[in-house]
Amino acid sequence: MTSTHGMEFANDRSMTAAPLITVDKVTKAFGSVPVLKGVSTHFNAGEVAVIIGASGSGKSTLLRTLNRLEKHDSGRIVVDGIEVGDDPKALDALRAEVGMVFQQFNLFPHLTVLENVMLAPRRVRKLARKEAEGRALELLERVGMQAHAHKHPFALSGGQQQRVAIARSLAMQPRVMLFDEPTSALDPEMVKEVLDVMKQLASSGMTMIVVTHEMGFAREVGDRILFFDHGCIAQDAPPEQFFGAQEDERVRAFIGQIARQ
Amino acid sequence: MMAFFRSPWPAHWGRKQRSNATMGVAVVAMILVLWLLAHLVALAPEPIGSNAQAFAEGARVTVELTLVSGVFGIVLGVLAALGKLSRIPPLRWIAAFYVWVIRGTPLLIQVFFAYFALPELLPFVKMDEFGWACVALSLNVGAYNAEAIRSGLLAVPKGQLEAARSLGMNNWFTFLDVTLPQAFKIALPPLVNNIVALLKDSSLASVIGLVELTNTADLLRAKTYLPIPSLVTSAAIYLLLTTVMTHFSGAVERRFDIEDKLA
Amino acid sequence: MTASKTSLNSLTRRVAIAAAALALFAGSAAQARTIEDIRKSGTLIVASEGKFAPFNFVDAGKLTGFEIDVADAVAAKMGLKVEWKTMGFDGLLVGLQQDRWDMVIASHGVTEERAKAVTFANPHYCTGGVIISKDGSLKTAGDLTGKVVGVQTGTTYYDNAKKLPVKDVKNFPQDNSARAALETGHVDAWVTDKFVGKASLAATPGTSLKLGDFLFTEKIAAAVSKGNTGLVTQVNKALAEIMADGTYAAISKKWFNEDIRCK
Repeated sequence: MTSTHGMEFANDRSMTAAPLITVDKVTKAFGSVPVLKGVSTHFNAGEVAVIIGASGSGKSTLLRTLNRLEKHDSGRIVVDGIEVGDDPKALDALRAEVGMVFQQFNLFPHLTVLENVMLAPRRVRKLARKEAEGRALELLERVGMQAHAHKHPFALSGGQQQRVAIARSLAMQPRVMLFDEPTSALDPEMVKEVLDVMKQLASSGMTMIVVTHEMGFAREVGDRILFFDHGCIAQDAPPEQFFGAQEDERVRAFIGQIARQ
Repeated sequence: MMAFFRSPWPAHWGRKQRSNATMGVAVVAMILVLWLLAHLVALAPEPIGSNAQAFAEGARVTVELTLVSGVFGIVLGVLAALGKLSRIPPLRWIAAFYVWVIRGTPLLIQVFFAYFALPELLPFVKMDEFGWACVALSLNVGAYNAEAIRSGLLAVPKGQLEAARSLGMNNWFTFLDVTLPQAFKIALPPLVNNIVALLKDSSLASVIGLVELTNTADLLRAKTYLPIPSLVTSAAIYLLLTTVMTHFSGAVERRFDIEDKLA
Repeated sequence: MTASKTSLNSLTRRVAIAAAALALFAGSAAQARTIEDIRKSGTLIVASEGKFAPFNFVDAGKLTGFEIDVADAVAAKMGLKVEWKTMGFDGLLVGLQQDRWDMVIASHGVTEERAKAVTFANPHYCTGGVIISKDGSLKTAGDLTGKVVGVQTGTTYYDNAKKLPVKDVKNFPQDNSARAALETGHVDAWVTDKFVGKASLAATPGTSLKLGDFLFTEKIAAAVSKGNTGLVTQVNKALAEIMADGTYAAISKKWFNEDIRCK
């Protein structure tokens, strides 16, 4: 077993067969409030898609329907050939392939950093302790947190916790990583360290869908920008086009607003 | 009590080591207390001195009763808490009914019921008074534990479950590895409280003839017509036992206090 | 000069008051009421258990029974009224020693050990501890070898059963718990007073329990504070009078359809 086993990610955009994720006319309402109004799109393997939009526009909700943390009311979502529905076994299998990084990190406070990263591979992939530990330490090194392996989350800063959270998701070797506003809860000094890890991840070929307000990241790393507005995808374009020759007034206003912040 | 002294452990020991050590000491102390109790009590003036062995026996039965009922009580508490939070209505009803009835009736009646009524309802179960006392006490402490554990379970943040699920962990492992440890830690203070109360509640087993500490004191009291020596001795022994137990449970709390919230 | 004299006076006064209070307290703690005191107050304070039908029990909220009637008649002969008190069995004689009441009548068997602690009156009936078992399977003392016997805590039945080569003697705070233990199969035999047992079985006609032989016989008497010869003499005199003039005979017939005095 080589140490780089599992460390390489598919990097063959040129061989795009079917998309990795298909979203087809998905609607969702919270009570009587519609949040997703017939959203249709797709995501390809190896792609970094950045979703931006105002608060309440539905972007986080769409992300969370992809791994069924939210249930969509109608429409179809297919992830890596698995239809997103209510079958528990299918869901567990789906979620093992789809990693998620949360705004609030959600590290397990009663476990050490190392134990946090080891838990799922041991339980879900049935990895032996030594193997899981080895993989965990490598991942922690990748995100620069190996020195803190035996600390508990409460002893870490926000940026450090988020990096551990990324390593934890990567430990499951997912095919796609979802990021739900990963830096929104961080103090500005710590945003960079997390974005750096995400940039690294992107350049290694990981399929990523990122909901964020970080325009710089979107510009630099994104392959596609999806602009969400009132429950619909208002625009879907590569960054040069989106940030460069932007024709839509409200998009320009939005970008301008974010830039000013 | 321990808060009044400075910690007896070496200064460089971490929280885990210190609380592990305290737990170890408390367990050893409990065993020593029970072992040496006969000798200790023998030093007391008559009529207690010559009955020291009986008091030691009674104390031993009390501790056995508490430990056995305590363990079953935790299991019942977890099951009832899960039942109350279950999505299956019949499970919810059974759990809610159990907690409602047990918390709404006196333990004394429950003890009588276990000893006199249950054997008739379950004729195939043959147990002595110790067994039936354990049944009554376990059911009782279990109902109180259920509420403590349920609030612990509810207090685990939703984000924790979302993180576990999105890693692909199924219901069982999410519960075992993520929810339960956190819920347990939150529920620990009231659970600890319940087991110390259980030690004292075990005295009610005397009404069904179990010769534990209170019964032993009663027998001596009736024989000698002197209430004070018996009552003082049994009270002192209960106090000794609850103090050791409180130290142990304090150490257990500190052991799981990862974020050093406790002093 | 005046100031110190005043303070000395007030200090002396305070000491004197304290001393008087102490003497009063000590005094009242040590003195049982004499017959003169009782006659002056017009009331005799008598205590019983109230859980030992048909001798002393509570019916519709009122204390009643053979011994209640006997004590009322004795007091009437002494020209006194009775103020009744109740207490758990093993606390009655202790209450005498603490001078809570003047007399106790609760089917106490006269034993040497008890006579050290209290002064007994003449016996008001004779009986014995009888063996009760399912279908009368255990009749004699010999039958009890290797069996489990149930009795009430602190009774002569307990002491006598313990003397036999039984497997175990289980003690219960209430006598009716011992009966329940027999019925539910927790014990093999119940030892209690013959008349108590008879009345208990008669109250449940369909029962499979049957009376066996006497385990031992005993004199039953009321008790007064140790050394209160003045009172006990008057009680014995009144008792002899009601036994002679037919009052006792009528009471005994009412409750037992036989004369249960000591022959």
